Amino acid sequence: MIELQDTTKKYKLRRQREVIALDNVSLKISPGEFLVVTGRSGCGKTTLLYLIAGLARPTSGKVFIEGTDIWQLNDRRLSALRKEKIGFMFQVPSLIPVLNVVENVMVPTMFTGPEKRLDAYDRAKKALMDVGLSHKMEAFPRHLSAGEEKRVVIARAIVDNPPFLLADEPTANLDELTENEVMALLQSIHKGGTTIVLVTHHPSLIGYGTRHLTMSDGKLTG
Amino acid sequence: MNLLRLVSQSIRGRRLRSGLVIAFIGLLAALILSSTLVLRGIESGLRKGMEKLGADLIIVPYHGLEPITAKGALLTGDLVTGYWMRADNLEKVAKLEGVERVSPQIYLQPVKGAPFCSAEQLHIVAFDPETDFTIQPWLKERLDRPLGLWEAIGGGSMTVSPGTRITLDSYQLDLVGKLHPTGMWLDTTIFFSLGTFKTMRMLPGSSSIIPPDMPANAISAIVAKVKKGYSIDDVATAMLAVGPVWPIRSTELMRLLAAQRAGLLKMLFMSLGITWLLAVALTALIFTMMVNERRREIGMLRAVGASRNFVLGLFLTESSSLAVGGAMIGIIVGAIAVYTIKSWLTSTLEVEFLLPSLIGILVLMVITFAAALIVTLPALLYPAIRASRIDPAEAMREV
Repeated sequence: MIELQDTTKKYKLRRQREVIALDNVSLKISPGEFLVVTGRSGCGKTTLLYLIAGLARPTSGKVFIEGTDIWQLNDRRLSALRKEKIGFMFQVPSLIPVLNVVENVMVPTMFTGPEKRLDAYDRAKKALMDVGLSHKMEAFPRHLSAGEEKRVVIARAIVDNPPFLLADEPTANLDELTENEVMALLQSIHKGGTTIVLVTHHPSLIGYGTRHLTMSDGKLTG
Repeated sequence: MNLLRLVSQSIRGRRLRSGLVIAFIGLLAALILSSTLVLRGIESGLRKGMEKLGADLIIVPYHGLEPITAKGALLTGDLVTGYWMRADNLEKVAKLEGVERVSPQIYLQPVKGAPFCSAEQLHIVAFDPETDFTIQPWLKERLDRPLGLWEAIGGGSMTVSPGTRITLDSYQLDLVGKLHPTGMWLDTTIFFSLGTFKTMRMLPGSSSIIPPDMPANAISAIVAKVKKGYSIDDVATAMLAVGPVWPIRSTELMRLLAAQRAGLLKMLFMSLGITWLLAVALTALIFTMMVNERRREIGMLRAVGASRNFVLGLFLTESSSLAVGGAMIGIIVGAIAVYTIKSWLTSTLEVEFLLPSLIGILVLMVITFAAALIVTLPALLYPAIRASRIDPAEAMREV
């Protein structure tokens, strides 16, 4: 279970100006859900995901992941919780250019215990097979298409089977066919028991979710 | 996949940046090592020169000269010419308690623009091969027999090879050897025996190298060695009773030599300081740029479970690996450079250049390695700390 309680996030701009990215949002996401949040660009969708993932600290309010108030944890424990519970798909390209595909997928396994690291390569290989990229294991990010890069990011997010997968505009800059492939992949991951929170400005993705929320000016509406 | 693999891939994948960092730190290490080796080499050369001179005391006539001037004169050979003391002072000094051995020297009129010498002024010294212990050790390296009549040996600034017949004033001398450069008056001096000098005096006609007012039985200086167990200072004080003479301690000459080298030292340290500042600033700039260009990577790493400490460790490992590599390459390059320019240094600085022993060089290399790492530490630490403090959410938004 993920829970946001009266969460507000303000960003400070120059000359003491502030922008409210998230305005007193309360939200509960139950295990097994596929929540799709839609809204226009700049309405606070990405901030919502960053708060859930513990990547941004709320200005006020609380974030709970499986009952843990994550901002009560120190950096080491919060990092460990992120590693264990959350897979994250960034909107922007986030593969490390000097690592090949399989090494990129293995990156999260660096932060697991030594016993889990033993079969890291096999798990990365399996994750790449699951996303249909086992033939590109040795390729470098610069040699991948946009769709392939998204699928590598998905493989990286699921390599350690986290219970939650957060996807920020996973189909941005993709053609329709590739978009469908990526969404089919996310659906199959969801069917495997992973809770997914997907934010997008694309209304066509609403149908993939089990629940839909709309966001406007930092506020969530039904 | 682990931290080291990530670091090695990052270094290999960003060759230009890695190469630049290695080059800057290498340059710094090479400069630290080479300047230390050069300074020590010159120091050792001068020390060896002084040791070879063998004299604990040099006794010169006292004519109201400032002692420091007299000391300087011994380094350059100037001024001492034209001041004489009685030759029987030699016996008086030899009889003093604590004196082990003595030998006389005569400093003749210097010659300007000698065609066989690169120095502007050539000094001329006559010494007694039978009692001498200061020129002989140098001679032994070049000539395995005593210096004969009409034979001469020259200092490091001689431009002609041994075996050449040279003309000094109206005298023909055979140059039978050339001494190593010492950085002292020996370099610009030509030596022959007292026997040759006496023969010159007996020849008819005037001579420009023998002062007309030089009394018979006069000498310019006495070099003296003090017996073991005796204080040089005490023996020097006792010498003042001999007559109007001034004893100069060899330790004072070493101090004067050190003062002469202060300028060179200052220049070397200044260039080292500027290089260090440049290397640190450029390395810090490159690492800061590296952190900035990898903000997205840092954000991603934090999102998949990396702690701040991991990010700090990642950037510190990467930068220190480059620093270690640069320092090692620089040390090797620095050592090779010094060996390569050794003979050039000897001829340019006109001093003998002695490198430390192999163990000494290895110790210097280790010290240089540590010094190069310590001085670049601020350049490595600041960007790494900055990287660890990057807010992942903002990093992913900004790019």
